[in-house]
Amino acid sequence: MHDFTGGITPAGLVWTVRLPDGALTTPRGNVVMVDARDVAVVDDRAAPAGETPATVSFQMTWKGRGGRRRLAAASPAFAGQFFRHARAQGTFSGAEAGFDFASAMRGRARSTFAEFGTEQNGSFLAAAGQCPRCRAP
Amino acid sequence: MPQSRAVRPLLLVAALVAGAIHAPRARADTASDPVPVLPGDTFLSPGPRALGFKDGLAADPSTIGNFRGLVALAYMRGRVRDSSGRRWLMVNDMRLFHGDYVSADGIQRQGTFAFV
Repeated sequence: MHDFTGGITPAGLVWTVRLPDGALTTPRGNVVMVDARDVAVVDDRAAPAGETPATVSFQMTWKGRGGRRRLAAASPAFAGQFFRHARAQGTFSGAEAGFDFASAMRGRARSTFAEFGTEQNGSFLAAAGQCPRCRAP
Repeated sequence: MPQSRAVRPLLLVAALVAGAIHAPRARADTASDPVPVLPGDTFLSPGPRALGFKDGLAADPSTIGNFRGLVALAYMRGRVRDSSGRRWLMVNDMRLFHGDYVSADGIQRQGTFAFV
């Protein structure tokens, strides 16, 4: 088993890595695409146990349809507008010393569940709450 | 250790497995880094309760706190092959975040991030 993740910062930011701004495109309002190459991650393998530096690449497309609905929660507080239906598909590859993988020639990976929308949380949500006209982005 | 986690990122398994989650600490902080939504290396995994996602749909998919912008989440499943031709089942939790955030140093910034 291989487990590729972006690691955790000492501040507790889990598996979240920065991408170049050009990696993301939104050709239409209901479509977002990402093309990320050679993202630095670690492979946290069970056997042999340990973390191995690795890179992964992925090209994914999300599509939303069916209009948007508001989703919100109080704790942790967030509010957003998400498409009622979303799906994603993509191709993946990765490499580390002694191992590499790539999506099969046929059959792109597909989502079993997806979300796509806009949201705000934390200080942005608090600021919007002070302005009655402000809503989720 | 992350909690409320239904799918792991870029997990390659020769057979479906389930078990305890151990998350590596592999990165250093910088002042321009985002801050997490939740403390204690935790985050939420939104999804239909009918499919086993106990957080439900009304759960923040963002791992970044003090954030405003585009969010995309997908629990992916697919087949990959390694260089020897061996087939692997790939199970991913992939997320995108693009927009404004207030970083650890208190400055509002813009950025694009992936949850991998």
